[in-house]
Order: sequence, then structure tokens, then C-alpha cells
Amino acid sequence: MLTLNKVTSGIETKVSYVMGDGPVSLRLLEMGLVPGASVKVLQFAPLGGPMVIALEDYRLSLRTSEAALVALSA
Amino acid sequence: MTRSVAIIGNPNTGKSSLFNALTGLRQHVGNYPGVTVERKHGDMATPTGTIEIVDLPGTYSLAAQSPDEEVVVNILRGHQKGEQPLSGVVLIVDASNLKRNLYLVSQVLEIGLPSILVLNMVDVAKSRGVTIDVRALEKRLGIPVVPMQANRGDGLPLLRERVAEMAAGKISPPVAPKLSPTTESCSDHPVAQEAVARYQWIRGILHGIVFQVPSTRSHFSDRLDQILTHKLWGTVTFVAVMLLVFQAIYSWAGPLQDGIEWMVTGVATMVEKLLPDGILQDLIVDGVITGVGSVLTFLPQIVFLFLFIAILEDCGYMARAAFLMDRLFARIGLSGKSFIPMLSSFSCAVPGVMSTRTIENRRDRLVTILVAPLMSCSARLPVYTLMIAAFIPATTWFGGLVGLQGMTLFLMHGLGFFVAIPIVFLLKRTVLKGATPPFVMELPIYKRPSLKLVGYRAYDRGKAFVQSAGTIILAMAIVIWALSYFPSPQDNYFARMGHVIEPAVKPMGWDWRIGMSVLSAFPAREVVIAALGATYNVGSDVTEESQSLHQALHAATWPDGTPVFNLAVALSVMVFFALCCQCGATVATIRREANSWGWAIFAFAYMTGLAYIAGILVYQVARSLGGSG
Repeated sequence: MLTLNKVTSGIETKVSYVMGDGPVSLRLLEMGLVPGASVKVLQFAPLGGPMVIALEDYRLSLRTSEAALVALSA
Repeated sequence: MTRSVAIIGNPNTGKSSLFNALTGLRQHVGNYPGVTVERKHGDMATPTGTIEIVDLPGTYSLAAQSPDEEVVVNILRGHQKGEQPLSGVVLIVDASNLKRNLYLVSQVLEIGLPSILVLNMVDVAKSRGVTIDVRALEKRLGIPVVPMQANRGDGLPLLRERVAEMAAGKISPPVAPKLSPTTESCSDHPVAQEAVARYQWIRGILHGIVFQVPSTRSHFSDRLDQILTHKLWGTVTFVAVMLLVFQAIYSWAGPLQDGIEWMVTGVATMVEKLLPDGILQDLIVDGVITGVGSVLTFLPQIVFLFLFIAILEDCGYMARAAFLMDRLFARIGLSGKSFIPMLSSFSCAVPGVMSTRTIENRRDRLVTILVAPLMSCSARLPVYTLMIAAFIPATTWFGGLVGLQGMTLFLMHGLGFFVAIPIVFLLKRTVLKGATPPFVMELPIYKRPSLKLVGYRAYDRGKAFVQSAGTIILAMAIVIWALSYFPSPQDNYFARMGHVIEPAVKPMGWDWRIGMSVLSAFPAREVVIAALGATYNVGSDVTEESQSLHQALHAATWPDGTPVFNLAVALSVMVFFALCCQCGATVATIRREANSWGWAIFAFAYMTGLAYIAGILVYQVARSLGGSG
């Protein structure tokens, strides 16, 4: 299964679903990472820090551990 | 009874600008998600009376995951203590990012308060090729929609009219959005299903009424981010920006400080001539003018520091800095969100501690509150400046671009930050144990900082500083003057108390005069300059730049004739000030924000203990390395 943390930058994909039911998963959904939303990885912070993604109309930063909760449709 | 209307919206939608436009009151506006953490009121005048406008903290959802969100939910539902029920809400959304903004709208509409939707930043949306059919949106949501450009005031008259109508009860409550059970194959969790259902509702609302011209050209904000959030170039820029800020504060504020010093000296000389010799002249000149004047010379530095922080916040860079710093904070158990409170604390710990309200987790918020006062605030500058100018050689390299004095100042500012790292590490593993908090943060588009707002913010902090100089520092200056004047200037109370405490400060290389000056600066750090001036009997024109104070410090000797001050002592004084919690206002703010005297006392005790140990350590090490020459 492809998750958001494994995508190389520059490739546009779509969200399939968000795993888990904790506060982080809820926040990811609230911020718009819902099934069908288009995402594109833009940048990675140094030393394994968070990443910037283009999510529909805006830019969101999240950690790779958080991005691992986002499953993408192939 | 006054009618009140609340403004609610996501962070970075121009909520604060709208509040200012409606009430005429100005307040702090920033770009960091959630910078409006305080609850703000203002009055809007209408032909039928005033309406109270409440500015609610920016929030993405009503799920109540952070203290901010909890407050918003309570106010909207009329459950907040001391708050009257609202007559209606103004929902502000970013027109260029409608989809996500409507999430909160869907939740607020469920509460059933009369609502108006403000479609803000229509020009940004237009420049991005987005067109919105306002009439159709109005019809589908069932509430009035007002397109606006809040920072320029476009659309304001219409909104005022609508708000007045709403407060008069002429706008009927909306129908709650119908969320259909989700059909898509996603998670079975109810919270996830609810969120997905809301986005489906949004898709339905926007279907066919938002038109996007496809564009292949990347936007200015994105092109800037290719550099500013880049692994290497982003980090290089970050370090350069921070260095520039400190260098600028140190060098640009100089001429202005000289000007203020010149004025203070002028006033002192004038008063000296006007008043007859005697106790009154001594009190006014040596106590009041010297004490307060010496502190006022720091006004330019403080205003500059706040100007820089306000500009960085308002243009949107702060969120990028938090992004770059997250890795470092995650490693010690916090998130990049703790970076903003810490950076703000470099100007003053009071707003720094207050800005921790955006941190969702209570423990992480407490940890940030406890270490924020370790950041070198502007009130420590006077001590650094004095000690550096008097005891650090003015060596420069690279044609004067990098100097030893400026470098020392930079290092002193870094010290608190680096000491904070092991403290956070310890706190997160002992009393405030908890997992590393999440870091899901919006990066707002860059915008030109509003000169009006940035200027107002610097002015506001400057005013607060002058007020503190006029109250607590004035009071302390008079107390110190009185203690060192009675019963006689030769054998005074200040000296007597000093001799009692001298054994305690001697391990740091301090004599009783330094000890007493530092002790009297516990309510407010700035007092120390005036206190040093008073104890070393320099007279009326004491400022940290003044030659007389430098000479007096160089000339001060122990009873055996050896000089009191040397590099080792200067370093121990600076390190002590860097780490010690000498600020009544900070302790009071921590008590209020942590809602406990225990944590406030804890912060005071650990910082003071740390400062004392570090002071001894630095002095002893520096002396053994030959720093006492």
C-alpha cells in the first residue's frame, strides 16, 4: 500500500483514506486529507524533518510519521 | 443589554483585519496559524446603537482539540462563563481556499445561530484564477454572503449593514447542513465518517459554482517556498535572517540610544541647576532621572526587536521557520509549534508565554511555558551591552563585518536556547511525560506585511515598556536610592545588606555591590543598570553606554585593592542574567497561563538555581583559564 510519506516530491496523487481514529488522524481529515483529495509533495525539511504538501488549494506541512497514516490510491 | 456578534474563521483568513475594520480598534495580526489567541472585543457603532464584536481565536474545527477550540465552542453554544449568548456570527473564509474553510462553516451552521459569510481575499482568489458565483453560494448555504477585501476595507459598508440587520434579529437562523452517510470506502471510525461526510457536503455546495482557470504557472508564494522551505537554502536563509535581526538590533539602535541618552543627561543637568542642592535634588536627579532614564535608553532596541518579529509573523515567514525547526523540537519531545513562543520570548517572555495557547496538548504547552523565559529577552540586553562594551575587546574580522562584541551578544542569546534543550528533555521524561505532539500546520501564502499593523505592534510594546519604566522601575530606583542614601551615604543600608549577602555571591566572583544590584533587579531586570550606577556612585548620567559607568566598573576594587571586574566576572554576570528568572511580570503570566502558583514558583526556582550554579561555574572556569587579568 502506498502512503504519503513514501511519495517522491513533484508527483501528484489522490488520497484514498486516513488510517487510525486518534486525534492526529482526525486533524488530518479535518485539514482536508479526505478520500479523493489531490496531494503533491513539495519539500522535505532537513534531517528527516516534516514535509510540505500541496493539498488541493493550499500548502500543509506535516511530519513523515503523520504522512504515513495517509493511504493513497494508486 | 448590548447585542454581541462573534467573528469566527480559520487562521490566516484575515480575521483580525476584519475585526479592526469593523471596530476601528487595532490589534495584533499575524500569519502564524492561530496567532490570535486572546479573546478580543470591540464596539461597532450603528445607527441603532452599538454592537459588541467578539474576535474568536482562529480555528480549523470545533472538535475542541486545543484550549482555543474549546473556548470557541463554549462561546458559540453560550456555555462560556461570563459570556452572554451571541446574537449571531460572522463567518470569515478565504476565497482562494474555500473547500477547507467551509469545513468549519458546516460545523458552525449546525449550532443554528444567525450567520453571515464573509468571502475574504477575493483578489487573491481572482489572481489565482478562481471565480465564485456569490449569489448561488448564498442560496445554497442559506445565509447572506459578502465578498470582501478586509485589509483594504472593500465590501465593508455592505457587511456593516448586514451585521446590524443580524443584531436586530432580521436574519433568520440557518438550516443545519444535511450530512449524508458516507458511501465511500474509507475507515469505519465515526469521527472519520463525519469528517468525510462534511467534505462531501462541501463538494455538493461548491459543485458548479466555483470556476478555476487551470494555470501551469506556479504562484509567487510557491516559488518563494522553493527556496525558503528548501532543505539547504531554507536553513541557510533561516540562520541568515536570525543573524541579521540581532546584528541590526545591536548596530541600528545605537544612534537612537545615543540620542535618548543625550536627552536624559540634558534633563538631569537642567534639573540639577533648577533645584537647590540637597536631598530633593539628589532624589530627583540620582534616583528618578538616572534610574528611569538609564532604562529608557533601551527603548530603540525593544522597538526594533518587536518590529522584526511582527514583520516575520505578518508576512508568513514564521510558519516556515517552525517547519524548519520542527525536527529539532521533535527530537526533544516538542513540535515546531513551540518555536514561535520561544522566538517571541527573545523580545519578551510575557507575549511568548501567552502565545503557547496554540499548542494543543496541555503538557507540551506547560513545558514550552517553563522554558520560554530562558530565551534572552530584550530586558537582558542592557546587561549584555554594558558588560560587552566594558570588558569584551572590540576585535573585528572580515573588514568589520563580524565582530567579537556582536558575536558575544549572539552567543549570549543562544545560551538560553541551548540550555532549554536538556531542560525540555528532562521535563518531558519526568514530571510532564508524554508522546511527541503532532505537527500538522498550514503554510499560509506570503503577503506584504501591513505597515500599519506592524508599526502598531511595535508602538504597543514600546508603550508597555515605557509604562513599566514609569512604574516598577521608577519605584525600584527610588527604593535603591533611599537605601543607599540613608542613614548616611558613607554607611548606608544598601551596603549593610550587601555585606550580609556577599559570601553567597562571592563564588561567582561578585562583590556585595554587584550582588545587591542583581538582587534589586529581581522584580525587573532593567533595574540593574540604575542599581550599579547608584552603588558605584557614578552620578546622574548613568547609562549602559556611558563612559563614567564603564570607568567606575573598571576602577572598582576589593578592599585589598584588586579590581572587582574582569572578564571572568563580566561573563558570570552575563550568564547569570541569561538564565535567571528576574521578572515579576513573567512569573505572574506563568501563574495565569498555567493556572497554578506551583508552576510559576517552579519556573522561578529552577531558573534562579540554574543561574547561580552556571554563574559559579563560568567564573571558576574562566578564572582558571586566565580570564581574571
